[in-house]
Amino acid sequence: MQKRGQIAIMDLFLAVAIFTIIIVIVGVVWNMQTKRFEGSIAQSSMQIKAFQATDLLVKNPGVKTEWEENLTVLAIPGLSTNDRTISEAKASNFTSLDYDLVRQLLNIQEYEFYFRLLDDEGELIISSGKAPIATTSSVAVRRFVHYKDNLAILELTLWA
Amino acid sequence: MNNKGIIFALDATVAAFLIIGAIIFSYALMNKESVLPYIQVIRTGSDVLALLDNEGILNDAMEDGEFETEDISEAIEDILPSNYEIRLEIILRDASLLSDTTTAIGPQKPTDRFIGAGKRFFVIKDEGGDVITHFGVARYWVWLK
Repeated sequence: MQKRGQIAIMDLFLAVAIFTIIIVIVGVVWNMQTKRFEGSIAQSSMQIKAFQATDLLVKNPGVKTEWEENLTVLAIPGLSTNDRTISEAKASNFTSLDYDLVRQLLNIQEYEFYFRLLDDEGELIISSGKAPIATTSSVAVRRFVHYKDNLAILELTLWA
Repeated sequence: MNNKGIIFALDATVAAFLIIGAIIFSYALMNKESVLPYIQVIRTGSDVLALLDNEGILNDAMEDGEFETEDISEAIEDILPSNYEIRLEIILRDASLLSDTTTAIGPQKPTDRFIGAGKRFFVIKDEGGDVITHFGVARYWVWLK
């Protein structure tokens, strides 16, 4: 009887040890996955906002259409005169707008942004906003456009 | 004793199912791929087609009733970043809506990676720009090299 009791206790210890190990592993994996999931949600949300903002900029003239002539009437920013054709006046005026106002109008208040227009060689034409800091999470969206009859790249970087 | 054995076997089976289920669930979670980076690929294709259309390159490809693809290929080479490839299929229907022609430009689609796809509708006008001579649909498939 005594021997049988020892075996039962050893069984119990073994079962408790295995159970504890499994619980610890599940806890660690759960924690890792939760952090990863939260990071992925934040990154996805940033990416979607960046795509929406660039769509707005490259496909629309803005509201009101002639906002570049009077910046106080600007309700929705847009830089194009025609689909994917960027207006020089609109782009120039866009870069002179207040940083926080642009964030508000593009509905990207929760992020910082950096806007650049590059020529087809990658040389900077104009820029506005704050350049991202290396240690932050960021999303950069590049759109191909025409600017002053040449191919250009409109880049919007959101970072937090 | 017989009964006790069956209960232990049931316990072990349930436990094994739970562990296998947890492992499969964790593996599926860890390997879930985000689709959002692919939007950049699709948007790039859309930008290329919009530029070809807006710059009149699709329109100007029609010369003396023949659809020439050379200028389109050259324009794509200028616009498209070097790490992308694109294939176009342009279906043209003449204004009488009686006949179609299909023209393909670019390499064959790969089978081993993500391909973004879309289409753009356009019209081709005569030299004066007043009369529509053809209705076109440009389908594109774009992918990373």
